[in-house]
Amino acid sequence: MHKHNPPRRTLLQWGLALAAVQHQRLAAARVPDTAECIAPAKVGGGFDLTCKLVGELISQGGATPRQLLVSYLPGGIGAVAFDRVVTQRLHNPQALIAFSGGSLLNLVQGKFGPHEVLDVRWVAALGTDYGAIAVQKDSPLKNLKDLETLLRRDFRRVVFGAGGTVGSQDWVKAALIVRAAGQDHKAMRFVSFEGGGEALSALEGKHVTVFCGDAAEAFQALDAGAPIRLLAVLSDKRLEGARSGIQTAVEQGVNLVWPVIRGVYVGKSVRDEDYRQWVDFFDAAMASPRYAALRAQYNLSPFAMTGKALSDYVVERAEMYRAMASQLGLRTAAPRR
Amino acid sequence: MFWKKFRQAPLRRSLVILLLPILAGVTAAELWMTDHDALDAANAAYDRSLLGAVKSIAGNISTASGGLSVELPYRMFEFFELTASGPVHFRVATSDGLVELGSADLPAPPTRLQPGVPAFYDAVYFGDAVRLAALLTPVAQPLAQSNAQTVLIQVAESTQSRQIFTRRFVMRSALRDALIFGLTLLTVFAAVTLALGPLARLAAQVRARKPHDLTPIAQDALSADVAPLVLAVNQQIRNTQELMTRQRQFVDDASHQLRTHLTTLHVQAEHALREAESDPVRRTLQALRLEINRATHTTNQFLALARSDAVVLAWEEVDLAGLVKDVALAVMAKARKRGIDLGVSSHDAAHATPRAFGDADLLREALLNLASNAVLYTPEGGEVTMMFAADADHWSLGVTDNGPGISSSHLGALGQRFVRSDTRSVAGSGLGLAIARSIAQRHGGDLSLEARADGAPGLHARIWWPRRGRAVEG
Repeated sequence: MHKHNPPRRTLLQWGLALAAVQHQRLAAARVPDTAECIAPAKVGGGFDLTCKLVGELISQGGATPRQLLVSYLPGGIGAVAFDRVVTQRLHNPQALIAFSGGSLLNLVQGKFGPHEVLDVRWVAALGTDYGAIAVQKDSPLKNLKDLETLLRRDFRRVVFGAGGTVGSQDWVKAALIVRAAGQDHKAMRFVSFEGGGEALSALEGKHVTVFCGDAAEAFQALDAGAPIRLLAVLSDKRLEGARSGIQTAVEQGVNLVWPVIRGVYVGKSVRDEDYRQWVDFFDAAMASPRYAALRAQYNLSPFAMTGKALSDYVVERAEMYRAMASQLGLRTAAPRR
Repeated sequence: MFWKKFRQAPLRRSLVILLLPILAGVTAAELWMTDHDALDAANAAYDRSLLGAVKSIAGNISTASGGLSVELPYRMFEFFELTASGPVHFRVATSDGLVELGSADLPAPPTRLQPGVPAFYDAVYFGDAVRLAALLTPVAQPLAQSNAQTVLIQVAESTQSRQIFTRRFVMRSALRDALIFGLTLLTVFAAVTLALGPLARLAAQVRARKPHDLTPIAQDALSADVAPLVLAVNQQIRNTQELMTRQRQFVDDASHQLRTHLTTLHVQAEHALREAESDPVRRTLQALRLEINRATHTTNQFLALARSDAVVLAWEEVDLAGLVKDVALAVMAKARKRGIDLGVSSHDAAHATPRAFGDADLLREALLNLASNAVLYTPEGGEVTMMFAADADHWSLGVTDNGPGISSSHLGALGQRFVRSDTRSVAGSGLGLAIARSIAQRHGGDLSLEARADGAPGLHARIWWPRRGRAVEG
């Protein structure tokens, strides 16, 4: 019977396949009309860049290009935005909110209020940055070993400078390095600045010995001609492209990998189908061959994860942070049960 | 309405009603003040450590690099969080807010700050009540990003530990106040009871008195407040006593006077009867003599009653059997004349001749009255049985007849003075039962009039008095 009508069958198959493709493209392109991205910080930080990257994805990837509205909700490095989303006091409950790996660290320390990781819906991680350790260009410290030696010999002379305060990612990185050198991280000298940029300026002016921060901002400063030297990037393997000359901490015998993923989440009140739509959109957008270049523009390394996979990753990562924080003597919020 | 009830309420209750709200009010006010004081004290102490945190941050601020920086020793935070027993937040910012470190959204101070003068205030941060200290310090070197000349330092700590401190403090004082409150009430209660003790004793003393007891109430060991009352009561008793003595004296005197005249009348009637010549005159004189005899009897009864009311009891051992025999002999003639079968029975199995205590003469008088009544009211050919009895608590003497008995409506009134049985066929003064009752009561007992125990018509009249009667009789 099938052999009797081969042309008909082929036609039907083609039709179905075409319809499927059509449907997929439409789904990938469709985003809510009122799409908004909230950067939970002031203009010009990492969160702002994340929102801008999402904006480019929307304006380039959609069938009907749209401008993404970016708004700013500074406060507590994402704390205010997170609290408002969970307590449903956000001006636009449908908005995407930018997050970073640091948000999770703050979350487990209770700095985001009495909330849990799964009190929001994690949409997509667009890429990752890594931690970086830098010194002044003419510093006698050439690599992590030198820093370790100095820490062992003259601990009190080493002043760490960073954009965060006690308990922040930068502080944790510095604390882990100090511990790796066999010293007490509670006794380390740590100077807090408003942001990584100010900390790097202080490094240039020799007000601090070592900079702890993110690779992206260090590269930015380096590209701008700042007299600094990167001792290590805290990635599992060397970065791609132009940055491949910089050694990882692991290579230098210090088991310190610090990814800083960047992405967006939405509130619990977002409907399943809208959430699904966002996940599908980012899946499609990041699968595009043009995405790698775009991501590189934003100084991000590959890290694409969406939906359920991302939620699982975030939960696992938060647990790791929680363990690490309590190990370092930081206050952690007890998981709500 | 309330005040009437209040005035009538026992002193103890009115005191408590008055004191309870006052004491409760005072305690509540005291607690409220304690709460405030404790909070103030806690705030003063905790604010000092909060200010310490602010000052140590101020000491660690540097603008040497051109940006705002703070050296943050972990130990400092560890110490703050330990004393605050909760998370500590801080914010360091230029006063124009352009450059800021730490928790960006810490609530701003409610008032404009003066440089170098710390301010403390309460606020809510992430849904938790926090206490904040804020200090404005001048910057040593101007900053690149801001023209502000001063830096605002804020430190916030959870109010948890000071709340716990205050709550514990208030709980302790509440406990203490409750204890004092209870003790005060107890003391008032005890004091009032103690103070009112003499009054209660007096009341008990008065209540225990016999109806005829007219001795004055003891006046020693009385509180000054009660003494006038007792004096007044004693005065009243004395008055009553005098009145009664006068009345009794009057009855006594009157009876004596009357008896003298009656004796003379009797003698003259006898004489006239002997001298009388015609039958009608003799009959009239016989009737006159009968009437004179009755008057004499009544007068004697009056005298007996007056004596039984007034005389001091002569307590002695009484042979009940002998006493009953005496009385039986006394009424024997009258009984025989009416054809009445007079008998004696004893309800005392253990002792053949029980020994009782009492005034033998008075008891004899009482039984004589009961027996006379029985013989008088029982129809001719009837039966009158006299009895005596003793049990563990009482002695009794009685008479049972098979006369018409007494209706139950009349039983209560009988024994009152001048109340007679409704059996009108025979004359009598009605004083006999009153005399018997008076004598029984003088012995601490009473007269009882009952239907016969065996259900047959007739009356069982009995006087009884307790074995402890002598002690009771004052």
